[in-house]
Amino acid sequence: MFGNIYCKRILVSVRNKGTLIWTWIFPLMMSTLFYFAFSGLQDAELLKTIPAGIVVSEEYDNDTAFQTTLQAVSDPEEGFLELHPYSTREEAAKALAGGEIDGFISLEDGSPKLSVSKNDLNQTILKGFLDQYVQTKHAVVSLLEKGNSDVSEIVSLFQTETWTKELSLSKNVPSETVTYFFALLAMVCMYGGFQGLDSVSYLQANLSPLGARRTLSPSKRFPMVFFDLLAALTVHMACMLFLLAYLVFILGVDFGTGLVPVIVTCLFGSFLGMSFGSFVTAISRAKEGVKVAIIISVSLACSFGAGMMVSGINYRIAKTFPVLSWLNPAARISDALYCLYYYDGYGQYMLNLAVLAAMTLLFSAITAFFLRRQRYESI
Amino acid sequence: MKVFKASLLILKRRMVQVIVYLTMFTAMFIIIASFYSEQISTDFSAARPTFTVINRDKETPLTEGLMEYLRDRGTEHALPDKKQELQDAAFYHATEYILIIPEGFDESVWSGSPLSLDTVSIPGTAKSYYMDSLANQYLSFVDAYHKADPSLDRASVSGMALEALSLEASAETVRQTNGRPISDLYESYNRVQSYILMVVTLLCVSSITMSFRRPDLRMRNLCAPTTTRQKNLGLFLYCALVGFVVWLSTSFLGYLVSRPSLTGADSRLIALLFANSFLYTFVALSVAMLLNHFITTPNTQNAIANFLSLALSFLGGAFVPLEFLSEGLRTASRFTPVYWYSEAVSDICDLTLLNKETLAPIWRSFAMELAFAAAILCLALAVGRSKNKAEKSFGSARTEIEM
Repeated sequence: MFGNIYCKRILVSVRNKGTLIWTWIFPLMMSTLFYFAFSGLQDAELLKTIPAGIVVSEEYDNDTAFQTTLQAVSDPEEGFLELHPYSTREEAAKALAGGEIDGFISLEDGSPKLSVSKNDLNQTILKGFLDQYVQTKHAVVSLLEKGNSDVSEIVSLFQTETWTKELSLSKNVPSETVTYFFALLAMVCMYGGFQGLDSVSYLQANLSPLGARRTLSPSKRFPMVFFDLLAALTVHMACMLFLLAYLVFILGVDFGTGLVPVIVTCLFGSFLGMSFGSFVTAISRAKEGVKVAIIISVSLACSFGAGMMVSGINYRIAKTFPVLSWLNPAARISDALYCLYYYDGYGQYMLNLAVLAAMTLLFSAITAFFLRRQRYESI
Repeated sequence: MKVFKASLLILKRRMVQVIVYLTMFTAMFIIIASFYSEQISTDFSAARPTFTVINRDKETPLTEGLMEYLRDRGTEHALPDKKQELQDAAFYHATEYILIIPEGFDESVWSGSPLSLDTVSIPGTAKSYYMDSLANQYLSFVDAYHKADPSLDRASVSGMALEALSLEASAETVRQTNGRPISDLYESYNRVQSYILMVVTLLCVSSITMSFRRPDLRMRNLCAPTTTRQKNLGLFLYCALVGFVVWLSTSFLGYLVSRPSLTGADSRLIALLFANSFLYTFVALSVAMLLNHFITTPNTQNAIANFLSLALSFLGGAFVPLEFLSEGLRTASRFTPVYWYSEAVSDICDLTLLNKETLAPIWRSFAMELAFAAAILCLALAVGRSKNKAEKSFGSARTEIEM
């Protein structure tokens, strides 16, 4: 009986075009798109040379101290400015409007003035640099006025030193990109719901003709359900492993740990997805299309909460509505993968798996309650 | 008008999936908007990166002064001194810069052999560089004043440093458009709008043609006294109505949800953004007309609608700004209509001056969108003509009894 049910259930799953598209092809396409679209995210926040203009006026020509400072920060190797000289403010303003520079500096009454068109970080860094210049100049002058006579000694006192050193809190560098792949895996785990839906539909006499036929068969109910679910799990895990292999070996996604714990997480997630699908199918007699829509909508909503569409939204939800976050199965799967990637210990990871197991048991128990000892007056 | 009325009836029956898409899209946008807290100003206002200070030393004038200085220029995100909390906040960018003041730091500064402060950030980022330079600037000033006059007490030195650091260079914002710039929230919405426009238009249009293409219905319609011109006119009217309603509803949805962040924004820029999405609707309609020829079942309908819209949106910079894409991908994306749509959105939101020169790239993007729409429409007509001529256009329907 095992071979019969197991093999045929696998064959049925493989022939189901809808499931094939949504659990095999769709994740592959999404992961490829994620890979191409998000591979540059990490570099986007790095400090790059800021294009800035300087209005070369008579006042600027006479201010050698400011010229020296600007030369130092626009050094091609060590500086952070790419300086473009303009002879008039109008020329510089035109370049600013055209997006050639992020801002321009002009000297007015001996003080530098910054002109920008936006209030982004590059403009803030430019402003911070000018602030530092103004502050240091003022401090040096005020100390000289107080009777300190050695200018070079005072200037050397204000040379900015490095008082800080970088500390790493984890073995792996924080990566925004990898969180999208965590959420994607969570979504595919939730799509295990399609297998759960098929399994229950094929078992319930009031849901499918096959269910009616199987209800009449002399086979025992429990082994039938068990073998059916085992086959469904086999197909879904094959899909998960295929996706994981694609992510790791083709796209080179780094999960920060060995593959075994990642596969274990996917297994727990798949159990949960399947039990969720079974639960949705067992509790109502709605049309199959409605149940599919519920599974897709809930999976997508949960994946959104796990950070698939907006990176970091899972953290915000966890901080603002912690209960909602703990009740979101996709967020738990994604968080378990995050723990493997980022934490040194396994405490939080195990807690996530425990929550997933508890949810699976709850869904399975409710499904079992609806499926057990059913008699049909009419179907 | 028979065809037009029938189309509306079919759409009404298949409205659930369209409503599901629109509801989910709206819900997600509202959630994102609720977390949005950008302050927009016409005057210069510096960006304020989030930072966290973990003080393991005593509260002294030196450490308090440092925190006060950072608070003036950044947004403090208080966190408990627990490793996991700090790890999570750093990973998810809840804080861009964590500064850890070690025990005994204050004494070490005054004794002349200062301990280093630990920082946690993503190395090399502009925000961490900025916050780090602020911390170093404050401590260097304290050290300089202390060395210049060692007789000064510690509170005075910190006070003098803070006073000196309160000086600022003047800054101005050069904008010649009326009012405030377009908020990031509304700009992001406009980018993503291309996705929802494409999906919903594709679903609405293909639902109808999928039904009209059923061989039995086609044969029945060919026998009907309605002319082909009348049928096409009905379908054309339906497509125009769908396109207009989808464009109007998605555009106003974005405007309404982002309205608090758009107060005082230049209405001409908003009008340009509306015009941009309107032109993109033509692209979506022409793509829908082309793909209709390949959509035969609800399964392929959903798959094609999602696959194509997502692929185009990712490639064209709807979800991730174009500058984050690799050079090769950016070159390839120029051959997609979404690229020109996203380019237009960026150019409109970056406008600080409205004149012939600054508007030229926007008109070019608009023209490219229309050109794409026209080219795809021509292709759709050619494919339609070829498919209608073919015998297989009637699918597997049997027209005569086989002996």
